[in-house]
Amino acid sequence: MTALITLEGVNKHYGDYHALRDIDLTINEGEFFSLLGPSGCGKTTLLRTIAGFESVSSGLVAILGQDMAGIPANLRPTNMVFQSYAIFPHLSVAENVAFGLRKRPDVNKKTAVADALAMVGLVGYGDRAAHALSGGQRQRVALARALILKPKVLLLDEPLSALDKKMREQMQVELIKLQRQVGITFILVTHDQEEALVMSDRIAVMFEGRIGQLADAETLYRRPRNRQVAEFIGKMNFLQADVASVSERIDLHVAGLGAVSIDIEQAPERVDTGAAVVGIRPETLSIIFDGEMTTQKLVDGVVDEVVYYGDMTYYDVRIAGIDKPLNIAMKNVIGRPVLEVGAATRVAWDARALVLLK
Amino acid sequence: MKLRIYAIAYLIFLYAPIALLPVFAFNDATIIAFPLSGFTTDWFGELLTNKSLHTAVGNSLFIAIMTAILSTLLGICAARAGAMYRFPVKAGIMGFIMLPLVLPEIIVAVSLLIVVVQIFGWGLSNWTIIAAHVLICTPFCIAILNGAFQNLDPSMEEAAMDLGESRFGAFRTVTLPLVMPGIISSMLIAFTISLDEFIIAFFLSGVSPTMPVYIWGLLRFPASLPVVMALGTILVALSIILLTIAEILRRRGMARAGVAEKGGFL
Repeated sequence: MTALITLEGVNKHYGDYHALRDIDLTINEGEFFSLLGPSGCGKTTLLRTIAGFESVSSGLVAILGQDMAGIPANLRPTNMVFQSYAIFPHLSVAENVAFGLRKRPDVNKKTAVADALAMVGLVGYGDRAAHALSGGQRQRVALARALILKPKVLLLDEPLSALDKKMREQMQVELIKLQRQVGITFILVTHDQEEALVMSDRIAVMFEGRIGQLADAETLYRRPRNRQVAEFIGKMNFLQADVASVSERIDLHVAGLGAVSIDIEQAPERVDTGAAVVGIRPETLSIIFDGEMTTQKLVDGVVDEVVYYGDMTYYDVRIAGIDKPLNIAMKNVIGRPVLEVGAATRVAWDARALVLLK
Repeated sequence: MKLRIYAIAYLIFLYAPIALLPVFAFNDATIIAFPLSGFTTDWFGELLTNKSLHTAVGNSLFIAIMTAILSTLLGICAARAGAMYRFPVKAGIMGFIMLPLVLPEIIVAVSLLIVVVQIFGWGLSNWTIIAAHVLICTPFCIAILNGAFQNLDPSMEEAAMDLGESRFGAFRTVTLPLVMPGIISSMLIAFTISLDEFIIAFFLSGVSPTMPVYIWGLLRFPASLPVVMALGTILVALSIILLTIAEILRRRGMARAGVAEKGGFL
C-alpha cells in the first residue's frame, strides 16, 4: 500500500471559526476511505481542501508526494461528485460526461463516453437532456463525468443523501463494486454511520474539526476510542465503572454488573485506576426467556420499554444499580415471544463485549 | 360584478390614451380632434425625411445600446458576487446599489449636471447621458440578473473547474450559457428604459438632443403633433415587442435551469 494523499498539521480558519484542527491523515492508493461525522464537523471542508476548492490556513496537503499548495482544482489529479451532482442542465448526458475531455484532445471522446456510461449502467442515455433525469440517474452521470478523466482520487460529497432509502442502499452496493472495478481511491463524505460502515475500508470519524478516531469499520464499531465516537457509531449502553487494577488484564467494578475482568485490548485508550465508563452494544446483551439455557452471566431486570421493528425487538430493561435502562436488541426468532412492559426478566451479558472508555 | 367593472374601467383609463396614438397617427388632419377626417400614412412618411429627427433617434439608439451593454456588465458582476460570495456588509452594499431605483430622476439629473459641468468641467455629450443612464439602469439589470444567478447551483462552476476548466473557463462554459437568457433580458430592459428616458437626457444632453428631448421640442409646434403621434406609435409597438422578448427569454432561462417560476417584472 502506497500513500496517495498526505495531510500534515492541516488547519483551516474562517475568521474566528476553526473548521479544521491539526489534521494528520494518510490515505492509501486504491482505498475506499470515508470521512464521517455530524454536520459542521469539518468533513466537507476537508474534502474540499483535497479537491482544491479551499486553501489551508496552515499545514501540508500532498497528493502523490507533491505539495498541492497553490495548485487549483483544475490542475489536481482529483475529481469530485458533488452533493447536488451539479449536472450541467444546458448539456445532454453525453456532453456532461465528455465535459472534462475538452482539455484532453488525445482521448477518443465517443468511445470514452460510451465506456463511462456503460460503467455506471446508463447505456443509451447519451442523448437525453440532463434536466430530464431522475435523482439516481443524475448521480450516475456525475460519477461517469468524474471517472472518465481517470483521476487518482474520486471525491464524493454526501452523494447518496438526496436519494430515498431503497435507492441509497442499492447505490451503496454499486459504488463498492465500481470502486473495486476501477481501483481508484474513493474518499466519501457522509453523516450516515451505517453508510460509512458498509462501504469503507477505513473511516475517519470527525468532531469539531478534529479526527476522533481513524480505523476500519469493525474496529470502529467494536473498539470505539472514546465516548463521543461510541455515541456516534451505532447504539451503545454506557455504565459507570471503577477500575481497580491495570496490568495484563483490567479488573474493574461495573455498576449493576459487579466485578469484571477484561482484556487490556478492550480499553482502546490507556486507562488508569479510578472512575471510568464502560460501553456495551445492545446486540451483545440478550434476554433469557423461560426454558432457555446460557453459560453467560445473568442479571435480573424489569422491562421498561418495548420497540418492535419486525425483524428485531428493542427492549429497555431496568436493572438495579444502573441509572439508565439497558437497551437490548433481540432477534425475533420463531418461538420467542415479545415481552410486555413490566415483565420481570433475566439479561445475559459477556465481559468480552465490554469496552472501557475514558 | 362591481370588481369586474372596476377592473375594466381601470384598464381603459390606463391604455386608452396610448390607444389614441395610432388613431391620430393615421388621421388625415393636423388638429388632434374627433371626428377623424380620413386615413393617411403621410405622417410616417414625414418621419423618414426629417434629418434632425434621424440624428436624435441615432443619438438615442447609440445611448440605449451602450447603456444596455454597460449596465448589464455591471449587473453581472454585482449579481454574481451577491449570489455566490459572502462578504462583509453585503446587505448594505447591495442596498446602496439598488438605491437609484427609487431616487427621483430629477435629483439625479441635477446633481450629475453639477458634477459633470461644475466640478469636472467636462462638456455635455452622449457619453454623459450614457453614464447617467447606466446609473439608473444598473439596479434593474441587477434585479433581473439576481434571479438568474441565484437560481444557479454554486457547485456548477466548481464542477466545471474540477473537470479541468480555469475559473474564467468555468464561467464561460457553464455559468454564461445558463444565465444568458437573463443577460439578454437585462439588456433589453436597460435598452428600453434608456431609449425613452427624458429628464436626465434633457439635463445632460449636449448640442444634439436625444429622441424624447427632440419630441418634447416638437410639441411647441402644433402642426408637428401628428408626426409625434406617428413616432409614438412606432415606439410603443417597439417597447411592447422588446419587453415581451425579454420576458419570454427570462422564463425560458428559468425553465432551462430547471427551477420554479418566481420574480421578474412582468
